[in-house]
Amino acid sequence: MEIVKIVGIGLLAGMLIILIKQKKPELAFGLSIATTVLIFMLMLVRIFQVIDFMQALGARAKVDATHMSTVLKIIGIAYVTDFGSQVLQDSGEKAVASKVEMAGKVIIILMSVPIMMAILDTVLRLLG
Amino acid sequence: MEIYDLLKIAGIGIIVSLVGSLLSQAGRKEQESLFTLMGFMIVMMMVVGLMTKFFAAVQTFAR
Repeated sequence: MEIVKIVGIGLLAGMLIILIKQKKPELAFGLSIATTVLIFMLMLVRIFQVIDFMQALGARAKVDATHMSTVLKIIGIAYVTDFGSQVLQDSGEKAVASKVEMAGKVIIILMSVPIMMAILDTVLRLLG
Repeated sequence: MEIYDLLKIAGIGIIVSLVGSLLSQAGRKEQESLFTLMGFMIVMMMVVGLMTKFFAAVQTFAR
């Protein structure tokens, strides 16, 4: 039961963070980042299995391989952006968190331009 | 990356807050702030190492 391990780590980290936050909030910040990274590292093998499954689905549906890698890159960017902005929001820095989110959105829009162009080409070919 | 890293950071936090309160009760404010800064630096060095690992792992998504 892997989920029991993860929930246990989460609850333990939550208790320790509450304990430390009373006196030293800046050390609680480091502890919450470490918890996030620990849980992510525990799930890394499973994440790669899911990615392999997605790539197999894409290959079966004959999706262009560059488009699949763009989608995976966008998922990575979204995950890192979400991690940064949530840690910042937890520590009360809403202004910085919203700027980090804005940067993530801009980069994702830029990376999805080739896919949008491909959709546009397909639609134009259907029309004309 | 093990749960020991987490417990190490939590232990540093608890020790720093305990010794900090001892020092502040003994009337040594500037030593307390230096001690807190030292603990913060140690934790930050560990956290930066962890975040390097994390970002390297996320970058392998787009092999």
